[in-house]
Amino acid sequence: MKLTVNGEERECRARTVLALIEEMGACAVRVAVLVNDDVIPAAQRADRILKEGDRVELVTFAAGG
Amino acid sequence: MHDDELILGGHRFTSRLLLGTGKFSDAVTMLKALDASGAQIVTVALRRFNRERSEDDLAAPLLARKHLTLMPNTSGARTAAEAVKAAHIARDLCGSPFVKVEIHPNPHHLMPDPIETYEASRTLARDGFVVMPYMPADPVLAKRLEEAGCASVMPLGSAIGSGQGLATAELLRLIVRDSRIPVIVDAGLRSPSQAAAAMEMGCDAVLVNSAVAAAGDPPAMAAALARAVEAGRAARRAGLMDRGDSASATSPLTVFLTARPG
Repeated sequence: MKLTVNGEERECRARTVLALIEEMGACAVRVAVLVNDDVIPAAQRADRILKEGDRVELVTFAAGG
Repeated sequence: MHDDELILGGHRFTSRLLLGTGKFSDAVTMLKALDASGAQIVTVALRRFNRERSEDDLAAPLLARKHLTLMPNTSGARTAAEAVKAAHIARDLCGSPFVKVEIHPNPHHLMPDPIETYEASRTLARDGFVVMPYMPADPVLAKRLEEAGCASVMPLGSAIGSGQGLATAELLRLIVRDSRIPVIVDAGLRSPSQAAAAMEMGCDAVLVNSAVAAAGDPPAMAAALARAVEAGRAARRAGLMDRGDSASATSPLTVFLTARPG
C-alpha cells in the first residue's frame, strides 16, 4: 500500500508498524515511530495495522548540543 | 563532593559540567571527550532515521554508560507545539524524563524564542518532564519559567557556537540572585576560565559543546573544563575576597631599609 514514510511517498509491503520498521532497515537501531502524529510505543508496534495513506515518521537520536 | 550535589527535578548529580554531543569530528572522539569530562548529563538531538546513515547509532554507546542521563533537546522545533511533540518522541526513544527545550527559529543568531519556550516548558512540566529550558538571559523570564515548573533555567552566555563567552554576565548575576532553582549557563562558552567564572558568580552548572568539540584536543579540553568547573564551584563555596577600589596592603609597610648617606 502507499504510505508516506519520512516525508516520502512509497509503496510498502508492510501491513503493521513492526513490519514497516523491518522493511525500512531500522531493526537494529533504536527508533521512535509516529503514525499520523501519534507516537507508537514499542509494545504496540506488532499490533498496529497500517492503512493506505498513513503518514509514518521514523525518528532516531542525532548528535547535538 | 557528595555534600554539594546538583539536584534537578529530584535527580542528584555530582558533576556540574553538562556536555553536548554535536559537532565532533567522529563518534570515537566524542565518546573519549565525554568520558574525560566526567559529565553525567549529555544532550542529544533528534533526526529522521536514514538507512544510509545507520552507522551513526548514537544511542547505543550512550545508553551503555550507566552513569549517564540523556537530555534530548528539541532543536529543530520552531513552535511550542513542535517542541512538545519532539519531547514526547524523545521520551519514547530513551525513557529519560529530561528535556532541553530548545526553540530557535533564526539560524543566523540561534537566539531562543522566549514565548514558545515558555509555552512549551509549561506544557512539558505539566506532562511530568524534567524541563531544562534554554533561554535568553532574562531575569524576568527566568522567574516565569521557575513558576511554570521547570527544573532549572539555562540562560545563554552568548550565541551558540560563538565562543564569545559570558557576554550576558551582568544578567546572569541577576538571574542567580533571585533564582530558587539551579541556573545552568548554556551556550557560547569557549574556555575553562569562562566556565570557572560562571561558577564563581554563582551559577550551578555549565553546559558546553563547541568548547570541547571544536577544540584542538577535545578529550583534553573536556578534562580541563571539568577541573575548571570544580575549581570555580569550590571558590564560590570558599567565599571570594571582596573587590576594592584601592590597594590594601598584605605586607607591613614599616620603613627600616633606608640607605645610609655617603
